[in-house]
Amino acid sequence: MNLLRVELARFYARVLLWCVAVGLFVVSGLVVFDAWHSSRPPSAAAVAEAQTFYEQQLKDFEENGEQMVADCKDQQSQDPDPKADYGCDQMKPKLEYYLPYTPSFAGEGVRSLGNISMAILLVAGLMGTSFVAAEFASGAISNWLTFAPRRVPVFASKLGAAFLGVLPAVILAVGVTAGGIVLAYSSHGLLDGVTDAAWAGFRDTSLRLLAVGPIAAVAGAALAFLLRHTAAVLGVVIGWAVVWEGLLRSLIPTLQPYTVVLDVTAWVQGGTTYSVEDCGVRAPDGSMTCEYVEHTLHMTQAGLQLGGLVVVLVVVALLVFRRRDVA
Amino acid sequence: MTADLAISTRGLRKTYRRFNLTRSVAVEGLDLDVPVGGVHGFLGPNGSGKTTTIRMLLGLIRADEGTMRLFDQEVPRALPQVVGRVGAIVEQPKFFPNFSGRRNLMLLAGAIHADPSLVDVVLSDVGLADRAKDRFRSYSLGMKQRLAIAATLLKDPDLLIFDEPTNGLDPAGIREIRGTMRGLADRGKTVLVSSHILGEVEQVADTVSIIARGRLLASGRVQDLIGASAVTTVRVGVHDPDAAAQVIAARGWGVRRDERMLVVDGAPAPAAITELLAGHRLFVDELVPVRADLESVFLELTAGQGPGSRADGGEHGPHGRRAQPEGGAR
Repeated sequence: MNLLRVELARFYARVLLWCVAVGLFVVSGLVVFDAWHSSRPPSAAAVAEAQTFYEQQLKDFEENGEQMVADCKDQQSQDPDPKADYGCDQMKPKLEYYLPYTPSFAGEGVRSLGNISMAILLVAGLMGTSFVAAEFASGAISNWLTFAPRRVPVFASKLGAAFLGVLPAVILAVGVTAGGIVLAYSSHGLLDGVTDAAWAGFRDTSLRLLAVGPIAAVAGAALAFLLRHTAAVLGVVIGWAVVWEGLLRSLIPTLQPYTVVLDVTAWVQGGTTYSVEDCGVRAPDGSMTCEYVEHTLHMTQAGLQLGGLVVVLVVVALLVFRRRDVA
Repeated sequence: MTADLAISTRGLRKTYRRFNLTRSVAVEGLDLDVPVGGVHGFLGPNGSGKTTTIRMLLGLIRADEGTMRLFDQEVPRALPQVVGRVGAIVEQPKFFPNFSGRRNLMLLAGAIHADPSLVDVVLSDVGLADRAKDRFRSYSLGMKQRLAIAATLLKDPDLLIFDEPTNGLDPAGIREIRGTMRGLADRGKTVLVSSHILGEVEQVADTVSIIARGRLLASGRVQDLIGASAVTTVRVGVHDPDAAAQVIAARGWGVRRDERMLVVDGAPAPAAITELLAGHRLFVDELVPVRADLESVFLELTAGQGPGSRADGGEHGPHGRRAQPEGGAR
């Protein structure tokens, strides 16, 4: 505990970490602004324009609607898929079709909270990395080990400090973001009728976001133990992002559930979906057709995969640090 | 192993893997004894294994073979128990560059449960109280060394290890560090100072160990090592130096002219020269034995042992030469 206390003191004494934390708050502010901006009700001019357009379309439908519906049903009947539904019974214009879309708190509101997840992941990871790598880069670790030679407690205290150290910044960032989104939707009168289930979803998303920060910090610290320089860690992370998250994910779409980005998204949002192109001979004429098949990535699977990755990183880092010579 | 040794190693070996997958030997079967109390010089050319040995003693790097003991406790196993008695500065002082000297020491004090007020005391002791709040990276090299010494003093250690402590220091800084080491030894501490600058060690060390290519070549008290040196040089003043030089050369001793004096090497004793010359009716006006110094001993022992030379331990065997005069090594 003594080492952990000292490491936390060092964590909070680092100016760089405060700068990075401020950057996280700026991102929080941007997410809140985006939520406020996108949840604004349509202006009077937009409503009037929509009304005019609606009336024109309604008049056109009253004159030609019967023929339009008949044409629609004719095309539907020619479709080889017997279940095809062209929506021919809903062709009569409605005003809401022409009004700007108004997002709902239960949908876009909760999802916009997840927009902060990547910023938390990167900022907390950078905090953990920089905290440990600075000690290796400056050589201060060798001095430190002459005062605290037990490597396992030293390792544990540094990871513990990274875990606990980022918590205040992450709690504040999530709090600011969540509170800001609620205020934004409230200011536009969009919280009326929000169900308990929607509120529970918002709360759960916030709590899962809180877990992302400390875990990312631990992963960053473990990578720093392995690579010993912040630049080296950034290089590996960028390389991973380009090769695995970008290139291989595009070439082999079935790898998508094993990418960090999708796993974090699924974890924060309580599950997500991804599409995989499926091509095959299905048409009666023997031609090949392709269609996108939607798959679900469950939150539990995503959480286990992310947790497993971090555990592997920590174990490897500990084994390496225990045996490695410190110059 | 006896309790009067602060450091003892037996058969210590360390190799490093190179990029081409071959291994280079840094320390090869080193037997090192550092007595408790006084200043012990740990001497050797660059690349001879001094820093590697110190790092192994401190648990920073792993030994491939051999045993190490600090105050009769085997390390690195017992390092957590004994590390409180050991303060060390390995190569350049390494602290967090963006933290003040005081904050750096506060962190170290926290790690060993030292009283935080002790930080200001040790900063004053090394003359850094006025700069305590300045960032470490703004310190001069001498100030960094002093901060490192202050850090070691936080533990009030029984053994202080200084690895090349005067590298990069100006003459005043070197003198200051030397005084600090002597002062610590006079207070009953054991000081191990590694260096390749013989003059500074000779002025302050009570005992020395000389290594090259990772092997011990000699160890013992400074005066005993100098006395044990085979080099005996005598400056001889004589009224007919040319004739005298012929006589001395005929005896098989080395001789060369230095203005009106002769410089004679290899004579068993100054008296042998006077006896020889008097036998040829050449009478000596002046006879000055040139005292061997540590540097000459060092150069004699490490001849051909610098980086790139063969690692065969010279002519002194794996355990080196130990000076054994009256009293022997302390």
